[in-house]
Amino acid sequence: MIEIKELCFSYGRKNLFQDMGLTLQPGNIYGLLGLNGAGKSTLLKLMTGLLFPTKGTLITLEYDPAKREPGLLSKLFVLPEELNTPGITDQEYVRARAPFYPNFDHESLARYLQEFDLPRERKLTTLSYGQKKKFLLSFGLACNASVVMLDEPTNGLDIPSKGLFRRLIAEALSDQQIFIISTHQVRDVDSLIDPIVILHEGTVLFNYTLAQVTSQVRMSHGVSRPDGNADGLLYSEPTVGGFSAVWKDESAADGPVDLELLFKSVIANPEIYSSLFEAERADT
Amino acid sequence: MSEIFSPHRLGLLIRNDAIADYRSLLIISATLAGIILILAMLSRGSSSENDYFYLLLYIGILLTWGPISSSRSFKELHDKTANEAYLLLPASTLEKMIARLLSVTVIFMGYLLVFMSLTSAVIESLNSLLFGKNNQWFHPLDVMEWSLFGHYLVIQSLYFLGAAWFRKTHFIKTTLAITIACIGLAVLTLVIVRFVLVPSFDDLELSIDSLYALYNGVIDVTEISLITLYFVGLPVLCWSVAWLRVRETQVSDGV
Repeated sequence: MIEIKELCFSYGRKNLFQDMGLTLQPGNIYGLLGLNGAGKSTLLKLMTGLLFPTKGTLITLEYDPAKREPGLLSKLFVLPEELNTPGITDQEYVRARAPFYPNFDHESLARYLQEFDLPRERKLTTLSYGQKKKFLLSFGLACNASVVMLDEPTNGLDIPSKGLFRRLIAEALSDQQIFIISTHQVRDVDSLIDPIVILHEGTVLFNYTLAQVTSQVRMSHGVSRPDGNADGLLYSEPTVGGFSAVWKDESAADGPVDLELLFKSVIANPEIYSSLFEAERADT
Repeated sequence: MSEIFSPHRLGLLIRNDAIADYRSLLIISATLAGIILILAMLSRGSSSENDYFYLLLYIGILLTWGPISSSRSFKELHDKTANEAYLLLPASTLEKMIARLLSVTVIFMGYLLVFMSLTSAVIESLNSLLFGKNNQWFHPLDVMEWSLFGHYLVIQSLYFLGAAWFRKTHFIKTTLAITIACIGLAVLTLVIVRFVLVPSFDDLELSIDSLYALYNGVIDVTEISLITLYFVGLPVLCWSVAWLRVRETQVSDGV
């Protein structure tokens, strides 16, 4: 579990997080969403001890991440957005790094690499950005780490690999693991991330499962613009060939959730969503 | 397993570094061997100084390559795209520091001894075969003088600290910092000697012998403490500060 209470963090004089609270439970693939500069990458770095909070409590798997203890680090895997691979071959990389992770599974690694159709025995620096990402992703999944953090994991992946990525992530998740995917490419991780965590202006604006979302709101697509004063209308926007809208609807049945639309709707109406999910917020 | 120190993790770290760096080590070694070959062939058996040819080379290489390697000990730490992987490698900060420290001290000195022995054996065999004259081979036991390794550890520790402390151009900045510190220390010593010990100077006949006697008097009193401070205190202080610096390092990229 990852538990954050009253967390404060700033870059110099610029406050980024102010009394932030968040709890992440095992067995979930969290989608971490937010505008540019909302602090998604910073939050991941705080959770892993790459940055230290200025105030508050942050516990990752019962460790204080700022101490960067090996017990915690061997249960963590982070795939950063910017990749810097050493000038060694993939096999040398595995020989050097895998022993640090007690649950590393070489058979799984071989399977992931085969599924991604990656060339073997090549210097990592000679691989393309997408190939590097696939290799590190395969390595990360084979670590069987308790917490796997992926920062913009689908950037640079080709179209078939994005589907493969979704399948492998879904297959790899166990009840003891927490996966956190920070991304702007919500369509790439559609039907994969659940719950959704939205960061906005230094706080966690939204932290709900898709089941909770569909129990409270409904999404519609039509050719005509919805009446702005229509009862229950939370958000609407023009799309290609019509309009999309989000409605407050407590009787809504489980339906598909357009994550991009949900995100824009939440960012546009933070107060309404706060009250809408007040009951769920109290539960969590 | 301890969260602070485990020999197993230390071994893994050293192996990790060895796998990452062996190519560049081989390239540098080959380059050095080529330079030594040319120098050895030019100076083969030309004078009695050739008895010390490899010994002087060893000392020269130790005191140049060593500090340069030491000043690159934490190169990933200041690289925005590489520091995450280094800091997240599952080992404690102490283990990471000791692994790098061993690499640029014990392992480096040992490697250099083996390298010079093998290189001198090959080159001087060639010299004998081709020219019938050769320099004296390098004998590792000739450099087994503790003061040399002691001086190296002191110098190395300063560059090791510089590697952790400075963000860029570690070697140049550390060299500048040492130069400035030495000048500062010299000026401070002059001031202290001139003004604090000024009564002693009033009746002092300034001759080489009297200065030497004064020097000996001062050294006798503080010799052991100065030597201890230099050979033990300074390296331990530098390594400790380097460890603290690495422990407090955060990734520096902004939002």
